[in-house]
Amino acid sequence: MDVLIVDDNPVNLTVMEHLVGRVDGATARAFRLGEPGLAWCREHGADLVIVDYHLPDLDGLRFIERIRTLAGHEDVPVLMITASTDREVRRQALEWGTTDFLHKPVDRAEFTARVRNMLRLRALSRRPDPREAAAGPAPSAQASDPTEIEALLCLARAAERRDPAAGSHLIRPGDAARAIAARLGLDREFQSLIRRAAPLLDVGKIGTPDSVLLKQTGLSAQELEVMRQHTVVGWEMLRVYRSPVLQMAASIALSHHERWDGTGYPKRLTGEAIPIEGRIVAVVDALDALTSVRPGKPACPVADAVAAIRPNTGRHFDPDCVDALVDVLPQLERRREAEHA
Amino acid sequence: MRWSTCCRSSNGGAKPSMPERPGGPPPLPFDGTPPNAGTTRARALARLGDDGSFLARLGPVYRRSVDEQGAALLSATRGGDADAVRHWAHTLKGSLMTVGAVASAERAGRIERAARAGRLAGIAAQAACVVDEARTIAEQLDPVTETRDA
Repeated sequence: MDVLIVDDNPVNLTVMEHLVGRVDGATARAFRLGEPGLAWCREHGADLVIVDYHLPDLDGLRFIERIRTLAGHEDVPVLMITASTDREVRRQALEWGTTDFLHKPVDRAEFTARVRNMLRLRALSRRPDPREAAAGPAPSAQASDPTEIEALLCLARAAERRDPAAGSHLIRPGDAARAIAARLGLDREFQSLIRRAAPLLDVGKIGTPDSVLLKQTGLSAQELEVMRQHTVVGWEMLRVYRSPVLQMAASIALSHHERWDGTGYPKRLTGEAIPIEGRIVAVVDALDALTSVRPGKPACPVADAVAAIRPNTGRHFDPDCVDALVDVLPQLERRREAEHA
Repeated sequence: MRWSTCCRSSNGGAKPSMPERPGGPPPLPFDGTPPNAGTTRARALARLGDDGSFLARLGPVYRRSVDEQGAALLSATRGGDADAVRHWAHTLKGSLMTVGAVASAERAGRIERAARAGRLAGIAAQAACVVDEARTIAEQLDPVTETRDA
């Protein structure tokens, strides 16, 4: 397993490289700067990342933020090395995706044990769930493997391409949903699930007839009813899978058009009776709709989109979710800028 | 007792050799820490799991690093660049800590803190002492020097 180490001090780097090399099955990949380390990860993929808080080219927090945007690195354990006992630094680091901390100077025994434990966790997270394996040969509905999720994402993209109302995403819905979940204090597993599940919200539109989906003028009451069925169709498609990601995706597909005041669809649920993942994605979907270019509608600036969402707090949207969105928007915009840098 | 300087004090308990200079920079406060107690190699080995062959590999890396970090620190103090002083003192502190030179690392830490607070008066002389110590430690990590000095 590959352990990426980034520290600008060659003495520390040499010691950590040596200690990692002594852990069974671990190979150290050492870099003095953040950017080459990120480039290596992008190309090869790391199983564990160890990064110094102070780097000359980008600070440790930004490094972690960037790592989390790389495909396959969303859940890679990240150990941050810091001499800082500043609670605010640590809180921020955890919020940005740090798994744990190591104190400087690194203690040989503690360092080795942490690396070993993190790699074990990483190996477990990549292994299929034994409960699913024990359930015998999987019917198609049982899979949780990434290929199947990828296939469903393809379907979601296909549905999106058919839908003229769907535009390019200014802020990725999965990232936004995850950030809001983190802000609401939901646990890391939930954050990881919602990040992967949110993009499937409209997968049910694959079953919406072209005559309705592509219609440029206003929909009749009957057509509107057909359009609204995409929530139930999506749920029907996804609910049969056991994978936690797809279970959550099914819930989101069904509930993301429910409204806090009970005027949404398909079940007209009210307040906290709407699953939290549905409430989060409802806000994210509104932001996405407002900030995307759509036929006859230019993209709305993020600030204007927020101004449009706010008055719907407590009517359309869960107030806590709107507050959380406002809190995490700067973080999401920084991430978007970093990706486009 | 006041401890004005720290030069050549890293060989295990010897008193600081440089006399206090009248009118010189303000002394670092004496904190009671013996200057890098124990032999340099023994401390480094203790930190690194008694792995002599690795220490032999680390020694040249340490030497090159403290040469670079020390030169940068001295240059920053000459230029009065508080941010650079803070950065290089911090980096040098990390190198010293890693080889178990706790007392020298503490002194580097004091320079770092002073620079962070923008207090650069007298820093140049203190930095020179820490850099000198760091270089002495590089010599002492060499097994040949260690044997000869023993």
